[in-house]
Amino acid sequence: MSAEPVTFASGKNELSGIVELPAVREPDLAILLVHSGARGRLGSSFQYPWFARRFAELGYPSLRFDPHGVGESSGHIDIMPMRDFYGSISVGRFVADTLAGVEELRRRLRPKRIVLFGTCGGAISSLLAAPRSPHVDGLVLLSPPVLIDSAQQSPLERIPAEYARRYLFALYAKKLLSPTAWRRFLTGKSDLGAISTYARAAFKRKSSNGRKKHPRFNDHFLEAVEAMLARQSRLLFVFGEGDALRWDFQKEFYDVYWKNNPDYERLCQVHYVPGCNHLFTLREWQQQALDVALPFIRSI
Amino acid sequence: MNPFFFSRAQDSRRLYGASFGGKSKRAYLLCGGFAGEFEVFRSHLSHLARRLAASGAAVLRFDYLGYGDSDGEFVDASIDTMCEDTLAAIDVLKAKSGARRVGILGLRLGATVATLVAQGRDDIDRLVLWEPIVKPWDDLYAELRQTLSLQTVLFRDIRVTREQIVENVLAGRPSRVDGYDLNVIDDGFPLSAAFVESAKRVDLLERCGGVNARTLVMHVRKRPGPVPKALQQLADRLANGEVTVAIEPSLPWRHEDFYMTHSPKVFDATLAWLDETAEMRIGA
Repeated sequence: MSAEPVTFASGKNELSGIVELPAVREPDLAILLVHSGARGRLGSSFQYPWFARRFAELGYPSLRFDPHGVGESSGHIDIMPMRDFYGSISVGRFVADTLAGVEELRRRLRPKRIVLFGTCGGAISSLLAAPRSPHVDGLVLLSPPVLIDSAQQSPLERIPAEYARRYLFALYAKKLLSPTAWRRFLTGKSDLGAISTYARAAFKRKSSNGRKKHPRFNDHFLEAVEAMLARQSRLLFVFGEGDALRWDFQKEFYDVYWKNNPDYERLCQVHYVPGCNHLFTLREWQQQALDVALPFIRSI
Repeated sequence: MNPFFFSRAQDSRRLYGASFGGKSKRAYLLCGGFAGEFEVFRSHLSHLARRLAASGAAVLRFDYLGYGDSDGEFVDASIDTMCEDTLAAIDVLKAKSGARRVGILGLRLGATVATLVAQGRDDIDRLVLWEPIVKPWDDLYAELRQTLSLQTVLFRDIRVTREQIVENVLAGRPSRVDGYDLNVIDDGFPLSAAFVESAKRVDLLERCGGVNARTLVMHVRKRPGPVPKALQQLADRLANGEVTVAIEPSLPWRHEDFYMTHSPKVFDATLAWLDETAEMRIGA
């Protein structure tokens, strides 16, 4: 195995990345590890270098890179509310960089097939970029958001009701019988603000107008999935069971568009990793994601 | 920006580095923080490196062993290896820039490492310490609270206490619960005995005596307020130390309310201080 630092152009920016090469390159398939957005090509708990090395051990070369303005790549990002930044990624902030990464991978390695692999912001960037390149053959999407984040949202709105109910049950059901917990509650030492927010989120009223599209639903997400299905490309979605965003995915996307649709059933897979959080921060969760991704990648 | 790998002394494992600027008498080494703070602040350091290079300086930013794109796993890293990596990086920076003396700018644990490395050396003429961690073990032990929170989400209970985690790490045993090894910190970075032992040994207030470099200790906060006592004491004990405060909308080494890839107030104050002290000699 060997790693080589590379730089390549994306518009007027110079992007910085690492090509990870296996000792023996068997399959003619390469993987683009699409930056995690906020943390660039390292990802949370250095998961992208870890994934790249595991892929190289299995014979798959990869490229990981920083998008413009992040990590070592050139460009500038204004200081902005975190949720607005996430929202901007969901509507395509790093799509051009991702396409530049695909081209760089092709130029350097000339693979017959390319799979995009990303977590959170990297997943949504992969999904939005893929229909714009004829060279992408499959997508492995860890925790892609289906709603568009915004600093304008209230804390209540951000929390899916199902997630809030499970969260309250997980954290507080046991405490109902605990004198210490009651003492903390009655003396004001509990985080009453958080309890109140989650309680209101858990029991917030559903719309009385029947099934309506969520006001922050990302239409680009749906368009990109359908475009990939139209060209018979395959998609693997992986979520952590402990991730609030999985409920958005389930309720706003899976139940509405995927369920009972034969095209989705044939070309898409979804897998939930028990206990796992949004960013797959533990190695055990990363390993489980890899275990699910590898058969999918081999079948591309 | 020129990315490359370089070797540690007597070790085949490679470290990742990125140099900015060319030959220059003004050379700066940038040291990142611990674990997640390293990830978040990496963009900030690259931004600062570009600003310094634009002013004619030579700059090197690098990944410690087991961090980022360098070889090794996170468990291979300790404060001792971080110091060794920093020493190797100083040699690389001097060779690339042609400078005889360098300045080191470090964040949090990287600032701690910079202070340890600067002891007794006359080729390090300036230090900028952004929110240095004076007693790493105290800080890291507090950080282990996050591993307790992780357990409450996973198991609805705390199955392994902080004391047990530390005991297991030092004994080389996993803290295994339901298939998870909970010997982790900062949401998922595996802890090693070498790291814990090295963190327990360091108290900057006791170990800053031999530092001759002119030093700026910077306290970073979100609202106006006093400098913490430990940072004031550190600045007082350094032979050429001074302390200042910078206010940013978010702590730049965390992802909080605001997304930041640069720290305007921190970096403006840093660059101004580097300019002011450029012609001053140590002890002047």
